[in-house]
Amino acid sequence: MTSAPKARRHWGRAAHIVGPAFQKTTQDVAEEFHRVYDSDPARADPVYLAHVMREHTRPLILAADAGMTGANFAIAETGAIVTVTNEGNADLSANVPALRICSVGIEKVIPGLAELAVFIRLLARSATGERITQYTSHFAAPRAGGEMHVVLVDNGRTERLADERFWPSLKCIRCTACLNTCPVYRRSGGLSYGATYMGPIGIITMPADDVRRYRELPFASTLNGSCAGVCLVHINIHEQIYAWREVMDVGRRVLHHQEGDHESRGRRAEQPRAFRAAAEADSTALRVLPHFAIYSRLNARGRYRDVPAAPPQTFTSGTPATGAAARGAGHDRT
Amino acid sequence: MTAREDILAAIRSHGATPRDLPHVPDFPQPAGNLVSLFSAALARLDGATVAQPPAVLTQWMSQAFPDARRVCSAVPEVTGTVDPAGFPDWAAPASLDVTLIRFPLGVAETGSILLTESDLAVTTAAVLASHLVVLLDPVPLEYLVT
Repeated sequence: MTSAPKARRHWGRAAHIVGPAFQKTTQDVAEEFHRVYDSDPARADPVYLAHVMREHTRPLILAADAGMTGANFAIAETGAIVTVTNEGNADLSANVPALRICSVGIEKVIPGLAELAVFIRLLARSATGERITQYTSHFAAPRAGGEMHVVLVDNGRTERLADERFWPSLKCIRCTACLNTCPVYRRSGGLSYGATYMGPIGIITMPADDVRRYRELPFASTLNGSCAGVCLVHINIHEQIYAWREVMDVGRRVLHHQEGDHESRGRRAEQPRAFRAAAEADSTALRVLPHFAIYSRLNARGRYRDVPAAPPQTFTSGTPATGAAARGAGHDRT
Repeated sequence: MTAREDILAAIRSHGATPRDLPHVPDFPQPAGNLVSLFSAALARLDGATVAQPPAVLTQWMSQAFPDARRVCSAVPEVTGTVDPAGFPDWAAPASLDVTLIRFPLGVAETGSILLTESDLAVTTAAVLASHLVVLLDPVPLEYLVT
């Protein structure tokens, strides 16, 4: 149900850490490039689109007085900042202008080159399935005639480092393995998190940045633990999600309507008859309610995407309500 | 107090528990010819290896890039049309068709090559050119990423 104007509004937000716009098709990109760069909207092949982007963005880099990048790692042994990219955007930004500025979170500091070799392997393989990315660049000093400035960023990281519950989240290397395996992320997409970092790692890092703004994120999880199972640096993600729920609960940061919703759902789940009746009612409502009712302002689930059609058969439909006969036949799994 | 001292003081004052660094193992090197491994890894990155060095490099260059007009050569075997020491700034190599350079190190595991500012003062000549030709001696090939 996403309309074109809405889609345009969301081009500026990332849906994935490694592939920020990977939810878009090449045709979406072709149409957007046509709108912005007046390119051929009928040509949706990636090579042509890459050339269009290069023609329009490379002159900006070539003419820039300063280039600013982040960092994937900072090596204590050599003093070098390391960036890992495929498109070469960080490399061009850092190499072409005379003035180089690197913004580095303090958790990016690792001991030495031996550790870097491990992290490079882990990051590339898990993020994109490659053995290494196209560019792995070390910036250790300003060039002759140039300047280099490194900005070390704390922004709450030292406080998190001292918190036994949440410090392991600082180990994250942004490989996105947890996103790719998360059933909630895979269904909802990254935009629904409304945050810079999305998915399981976003759930445990964004509240540390703004606990009020992101108070709902810890509840966007089934706590199935798949994220922690695939995490390369062994972050106990699902346990931290649960701990953040406790933080929200203790701080009464759960929205009032959400709290009521949770209580209502809890009571319903305790009564199988009521649960099944409510499930049937929801399915019927999705089939018969008019469009404006389903996509009203009250239904946040339909704000940016289609609400899935109600399946013709559910786990409970067509089975005896009491379950006695089914249990006798060994079919009751509810 | 500088910002760096602020951060270090904050880490100390918050009393974070010191932890031992984990041991980094020596990863085993697989058996096999390093040149073959390098070539296979490079192919995965859409790069191509010329197995047998051409007898006359200039002739091979003109056959491989017949339309190239601005060729930057940083090796003595080929005289290019652009002097690698003559770039006024790091954006100047943007108009290069081909850059030819000898790299000191290749990594067989990944098909990667090492470029440093001691090999090419204006490193953007290797990044901004449309095509990059690398002369790589087989002897210094390493297997592991370091």
